[in-house]
Amino acid sequence: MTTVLLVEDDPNIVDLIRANLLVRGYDVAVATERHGALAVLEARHPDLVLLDLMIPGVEGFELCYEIRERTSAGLIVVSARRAEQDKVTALNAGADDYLTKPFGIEELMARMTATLRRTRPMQGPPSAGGRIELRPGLVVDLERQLVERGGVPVHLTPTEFALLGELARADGRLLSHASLLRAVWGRGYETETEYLRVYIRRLRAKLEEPGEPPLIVTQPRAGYRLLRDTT
Amino acid sequence: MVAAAVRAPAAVLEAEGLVVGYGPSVVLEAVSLHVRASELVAVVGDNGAGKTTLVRTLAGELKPRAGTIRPSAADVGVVWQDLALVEDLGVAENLLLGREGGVFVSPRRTHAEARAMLRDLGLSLGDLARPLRTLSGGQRRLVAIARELARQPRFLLLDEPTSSLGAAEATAVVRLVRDACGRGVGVLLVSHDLDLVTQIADRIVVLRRGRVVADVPGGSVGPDDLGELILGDHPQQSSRRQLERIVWLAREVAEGGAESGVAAITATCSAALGGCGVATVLLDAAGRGVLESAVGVDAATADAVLEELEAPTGLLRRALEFGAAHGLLEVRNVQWELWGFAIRGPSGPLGVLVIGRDPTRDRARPRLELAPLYAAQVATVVERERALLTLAHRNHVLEVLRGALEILARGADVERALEAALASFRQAIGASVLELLEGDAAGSILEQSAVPTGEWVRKVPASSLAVLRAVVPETAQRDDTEELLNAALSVVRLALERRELERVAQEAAALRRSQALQVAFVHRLSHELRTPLTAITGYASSLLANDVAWDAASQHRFLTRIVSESQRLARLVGDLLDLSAIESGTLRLRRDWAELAYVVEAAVACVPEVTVDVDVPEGVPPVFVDHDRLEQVLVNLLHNAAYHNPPGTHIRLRVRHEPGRVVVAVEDDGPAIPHGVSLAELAERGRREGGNGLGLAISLSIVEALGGSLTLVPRADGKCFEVVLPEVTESAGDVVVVAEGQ
Repeated sequence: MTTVLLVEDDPNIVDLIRANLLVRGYDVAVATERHGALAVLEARHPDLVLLDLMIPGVEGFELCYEIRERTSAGLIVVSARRAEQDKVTALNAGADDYLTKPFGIEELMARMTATLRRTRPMQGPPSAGGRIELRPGLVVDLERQLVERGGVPVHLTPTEFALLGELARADGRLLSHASLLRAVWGRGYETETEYLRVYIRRLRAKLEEPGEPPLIVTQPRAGYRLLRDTT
Repeated sequence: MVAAAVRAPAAVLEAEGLVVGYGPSVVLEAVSLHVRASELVAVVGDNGAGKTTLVRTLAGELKPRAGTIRPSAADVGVVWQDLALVEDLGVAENLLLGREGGVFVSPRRTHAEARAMLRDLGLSLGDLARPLRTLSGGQRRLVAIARELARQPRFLLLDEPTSSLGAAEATAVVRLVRDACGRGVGVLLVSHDLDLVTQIADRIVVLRRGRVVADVPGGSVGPDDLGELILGDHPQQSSRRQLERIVWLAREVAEGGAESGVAAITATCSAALGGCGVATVLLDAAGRGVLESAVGVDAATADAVLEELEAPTGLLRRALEFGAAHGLLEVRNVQWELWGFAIRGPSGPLGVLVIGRDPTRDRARPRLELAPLYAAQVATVVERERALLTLAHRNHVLEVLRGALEILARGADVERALEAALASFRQAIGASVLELLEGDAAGSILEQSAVPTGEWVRKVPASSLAVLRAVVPETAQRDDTEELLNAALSVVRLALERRELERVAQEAAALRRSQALQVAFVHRLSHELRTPLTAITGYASSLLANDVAWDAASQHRFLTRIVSESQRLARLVGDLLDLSAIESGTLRLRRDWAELAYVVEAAVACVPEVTVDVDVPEGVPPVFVDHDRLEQVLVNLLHNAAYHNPPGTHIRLRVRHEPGRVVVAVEDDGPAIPHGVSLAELAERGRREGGNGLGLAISLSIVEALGGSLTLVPRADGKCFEVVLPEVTESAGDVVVVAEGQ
């Protein structure tokens, strides 16, 4: 069963989301503040977290960081803030997706499904491809969802891994923003280019070494590709 | 050495009744003196007293008209001021020059001889091969004296042996001379150096005007006594006093002493000039002569002198033009003889020192040659006083300016600082009015065609339109006024600039604050509005979802929630409209007399979900309020108490009458509000707990618009909000009713 942690303090919205999730077969845990949220995270290991940024007693983005530090579960931020900057901040803080209020229930369900598909790939169809050596010593194992640098695992979140997998499979070909967004986040995300920007930056931070040529190359206004062999 | 041996030694050099002259003039008149063996006799005297003539006569260079000298010149050695040495020869050769037998051909022998000579004299002169021109003045003097002593004279005459020598070299010369005395040589030494003479001479002979006026043992007189002896008679004493006077005056002037004023100089001048009349006339700013000080002249004479001075060809003009002038002036049958001496400072003519001789009183002609000295003293004093005056004035201006700037810098409030600065300037200028005019007032004063006397108008530089206007008494010094006004202008300019800066800064801060508030408000509002919207959208879309069939209970719950959230949304929109009306000042209050009991009853009825304990005592006067708005405030407070407390919280509404006011208190026994949190903060904050932020902000604004206040009363337990309404008299209320009705 898929467990969802709902961090929200408005009783109506709690009731609304919980009713919709329960009726669709999800297990739901509700927390109305930070402490409860972290406790549930510890005890129930949810597959997905729905987080309202306006939680009393804590800066919403901070809680977002705290949750991302503790789990690689899908993390969707639900917020009344519509500014682009808020979205980027949430993604930087580790969110996989960002949903603005008010929202229709179908949209919430669609985003949850997309995020879960990406963040729980073990339960989905096995990924094609095997081990790919991106650079000498830097190996991505698509099947086992692992990245190693010199034999040492590099920790990537599922969304980060999904993005890297798409780029690796393309084998140095250019992938457009829209195709990457559709492949990683799902249909309907094709215009969310800031998702890509944030996640490409996270991948670079984790995989590229200072002084080395870049692993991921930006093609302005077009897309991204991997620079595999520099020799 | 050989030559001296045959002569009989003479114990005393004696001169008796020497008369020496050149042509018609007699230089020495019956001079007698003697020098014993081993004795050092000094001859002192003023220039022209006959000292050098005496030496030349004793040396046999001059033949006396009368008198005798014993022994003959052969026994006397002389060292003249002009040493008669040969520059290009070495020290040794010079020592042996003029010696019987002359200079040896062999340098080795010459040097050996010279060394032996110096050894006898106990003198060391270093390398004897050095040419004489490389020697210092003192060493040459030693060479010359040594050469003379080597001839073993019985008497030695020295003409100014230490003149132009430093102390160390003079001491070496004196030692050589004293050593010679010790070997029996009688020395006659002519010197100007009275200090040296009193220290070394066994006897001192004073020559004055060709006569010996004193012959005293050394050590019995000091240099000062010697000076008196040298100058001697009356005229000399008076010139010495003149010198002392001028030295004293110069010192006083230099030190700025109290006695250094023009009056003191005038008096000193009169005394110095033998008591004749002296007047100091200084030029004023307009170039007219003003009598500064007069001595020995009566008032009438002084006036007449001034008049004469003023004439175009008068003494004053001529003296100023030529430096000095002479004229005659008859005042009351006295024919005055006048001399004028220009008093000139570095910046130009300052005045005239006038010296007058009343022929009936002053027999002798005054010593006019001293007058320019006194004129110079006057110039020094006047210049110094003027410099001091300028300095004092400048200090005054600086002081005022500094004070004003300090006031400006200190004052947080520019207006008050400016006022204080202007006040200090007004006082400094002595103005009856010193004001800053701005805008139209400044414009109209600039347009006035003629500025009234005593009024000064100056535009403040770099200001849009500001004018400084001063009314100054005519007695004020124009320069001072001008300078102080200029200083005031700079200060005012600074103040205006600062005021402008502060205004801009305040506006910017206000703008920033209002922007920040607006941003915060919009944030809060967007959440405030989206929360019910989210619920409505969510519930509605849930009901519409195709993949789920909701049971009847769920459907009912969803629909109920949609309705209540819609109401919440409607209330919020209404609040927002109220708030914007209050903030934009367009909220219309319809005030009238109201019985509080009815208003409270209506408000409680709007919150049917909770029980409110109401207490309205009898005799509370009617209040003058907008009935609906007051009800809105009370509903809001009750609503907050009902919904932001745990279930079961007890709510009370109490009305009480205090002098001049009526208080409505809404209390609950729920959780207390943290200490230090103000109502304004409470109103600004907290939107989550059901939107009481907006409600409280609106209530606050309404109560204030009604002339009352909404306060949060600190409590240990629970909360207490108090609406304080003013008690209005009926007539005042009626006036408002009429005004607001229109």
